[in-house]
Amino acid sequence: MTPFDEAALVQAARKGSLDAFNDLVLAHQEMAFNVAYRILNDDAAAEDATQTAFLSAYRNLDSYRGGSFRAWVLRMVTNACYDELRRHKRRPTTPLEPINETEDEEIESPAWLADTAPSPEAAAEQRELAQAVQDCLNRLPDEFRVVIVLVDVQGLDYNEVAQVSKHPLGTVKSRLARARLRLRDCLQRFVELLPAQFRLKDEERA
Amino acid sequence: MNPRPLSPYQQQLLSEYLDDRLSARQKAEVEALLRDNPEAATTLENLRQLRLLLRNLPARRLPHNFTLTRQMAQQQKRPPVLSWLRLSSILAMLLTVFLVTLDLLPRGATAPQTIATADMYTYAAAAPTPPIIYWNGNPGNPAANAGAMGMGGGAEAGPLSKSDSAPRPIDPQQPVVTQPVIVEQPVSPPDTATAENNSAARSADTQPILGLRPEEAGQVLDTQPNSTQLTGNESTPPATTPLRWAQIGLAALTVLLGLLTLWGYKRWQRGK
Repeated sequence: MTPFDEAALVQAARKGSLDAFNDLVLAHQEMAFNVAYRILNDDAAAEDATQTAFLSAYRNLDSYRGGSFRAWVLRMVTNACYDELRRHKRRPTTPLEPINETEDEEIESPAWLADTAPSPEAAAEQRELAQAVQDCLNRLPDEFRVVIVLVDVQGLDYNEVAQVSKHPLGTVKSRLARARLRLRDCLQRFVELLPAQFRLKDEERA
Repeated sequence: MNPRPLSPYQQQLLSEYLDDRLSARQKAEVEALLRDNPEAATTLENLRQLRLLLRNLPARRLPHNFTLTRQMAQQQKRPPVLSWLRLSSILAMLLTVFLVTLDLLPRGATAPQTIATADMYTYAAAAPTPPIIYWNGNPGNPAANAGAMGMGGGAEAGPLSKSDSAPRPIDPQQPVVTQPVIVEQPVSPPDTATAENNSAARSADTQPILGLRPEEAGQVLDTQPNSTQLTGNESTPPATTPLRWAQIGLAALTVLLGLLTLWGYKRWQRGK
């Protein structure tokens, strides 16, 4: 979608066109859901936060003052995630049964049926690696996690992140540097999971 | 080239260097650091690999589309009147709390204190001004003080010069001050009658020492003004009735607005 199209859709949505707003939702929902998932580490919570964020965006379209619409929507998403995190901290819940994600995914989409898919061992390793990264992300303070998810996972520009988080550019840079270093230190515990091209220098020497 | 630990500033520079966010000068600084410190080169490579790893994380599949239905779009709009009601109830509550706090404050902390202060000024103006006693001679009369050197003063006497420290011959013409010098304070012009009375009262033989007249020695002096002088007519009841009415009215308004807001929210939630 070109910026012009986006601006026209925003304009139409502000005039009350729900279809135009839904086109914007379709353009940004994947990123919004993935950001929410990386911050919350829970599919159901990420789903709720994403839906809440889009409803909030629709309700507050009048407060959009131009600039990056993506950043504006992501601000709604991160706010919804912070609310969810606060709620979770107030009322921590533990599942009645341990969730075995591997079994769930095998039932829903068996990887061995597809010829192009990696071998079951490689797929399992990839999942483990992704889980290790997610575990390390979860160990970061919320503010650090938001910044590193937006910059390194989603590829946003520093200025957009400053717009999303409503913090000065200097704070964004400093938080990003600290988050990266903490994440690197955390990942050193999972050396065996890292593929050769992702091996960190210290680990290779070790 | 021994690896040295990096400072937080250098770590941040490396992070920004990775994203190509540095100025030319900062870039040159980082490149010099990379040449000099192998730890910097390792850290930069680690950060590069980490970023690559994060960029390659598999995206989560969407559970469903997040588009809004007409029903969701209509129901989610909160009526503006609810926001106004909420704001008004908060304002009314704050005002009530303020008025109750004002009422709970001690009496001396509010209006009566200002009355007392004004009366005290009046009392102070009418009181006789005590004379000042200079034990080291009168500064207004240097000639009379010449023989009183060495009777104190210290720093106020100014720095001693060589000539000051030398013994000085006593001038037989100058009187030696052995008694305290009493200087009358000028009395403020509007209160001339009081000032005249005071100076007349202080004759040479009844000169007070340290502001205490001989006839007052040994007596307990009550210098506190009469309480009626300070607070005025005590029989007047305090004017709290309007304040009390305002408190009651605001409290009632707070409850009313709060109930209305609650009712509006419940109704809006039911309609969602």
